[in-house]
Amino acid sequence: MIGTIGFAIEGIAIVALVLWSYREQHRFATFGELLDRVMSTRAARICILTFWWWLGWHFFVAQTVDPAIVGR
Amino acid sequence: MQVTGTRRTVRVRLTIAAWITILILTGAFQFYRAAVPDAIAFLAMAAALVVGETGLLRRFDRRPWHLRRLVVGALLAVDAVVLLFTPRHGFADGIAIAVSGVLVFLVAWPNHPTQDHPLPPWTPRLTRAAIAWAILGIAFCIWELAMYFLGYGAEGRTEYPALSDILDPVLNNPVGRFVGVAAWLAGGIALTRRGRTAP
Repeated sequence: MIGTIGFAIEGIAIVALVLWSYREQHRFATFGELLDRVMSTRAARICILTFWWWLGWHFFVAQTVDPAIVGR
Repeated sequence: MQVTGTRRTVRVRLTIAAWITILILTGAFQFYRAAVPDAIAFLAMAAALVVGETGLLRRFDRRPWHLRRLVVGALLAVDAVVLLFTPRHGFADGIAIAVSGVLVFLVAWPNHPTQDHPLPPWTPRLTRAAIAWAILGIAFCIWELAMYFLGYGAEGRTEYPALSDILDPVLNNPVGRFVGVAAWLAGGIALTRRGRTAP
């Protein structure tokens, strides 16, 4: 339960930050603008897209849930 | 002026090293999970970036891949059909995602002509946004790792579920799977278009 609540809080924070950035555009760059700047370097571009690719691999191809390991 | 240029070069190289370090650390964690293909993917990208920094792959820099919209649309359609209608964790899904990864890498690797110029400076707007998103991102990683490690034990992985534990049953549902596939494909399209124009 606590894990789900934590992720829910994170999700709400992300939505709030997106909305705040659109409301305060004169002081705060939007997520898209930030990505444009960050991903203008190849290292950031490849790193971020690798994580995107891995999300697909992890949830649709590989074993998604790691088995419980007793005694660890 | 020379000192400023040198300082900027050092800062850029440190930034590149940071991204490569993230890939290496993530690859190492995948080895810890015994997810070998995942680890190989992350470490291969780190190695490619290191080799790229040596200039050995410079010949690929000025040949940006421009896939026609029709081709992109067709690839998206094939991906969507395979991911939605073939068994999850199946061979077809593996092929579709592996091929998608290769194509996205080929599109993303070359620097666009606008990227050959010096990078635009970090404005206060961008800096504030970067700090806020970095805090959220780090908080998410810490929480995910905490749930992952706390979730191990004789009781199984239900007491402290990681995000994978929460989303796995959602993706087993047809509607959840449709939303997941659509979100992943849309995210890929959106991300491959970023960084092509200076903000």
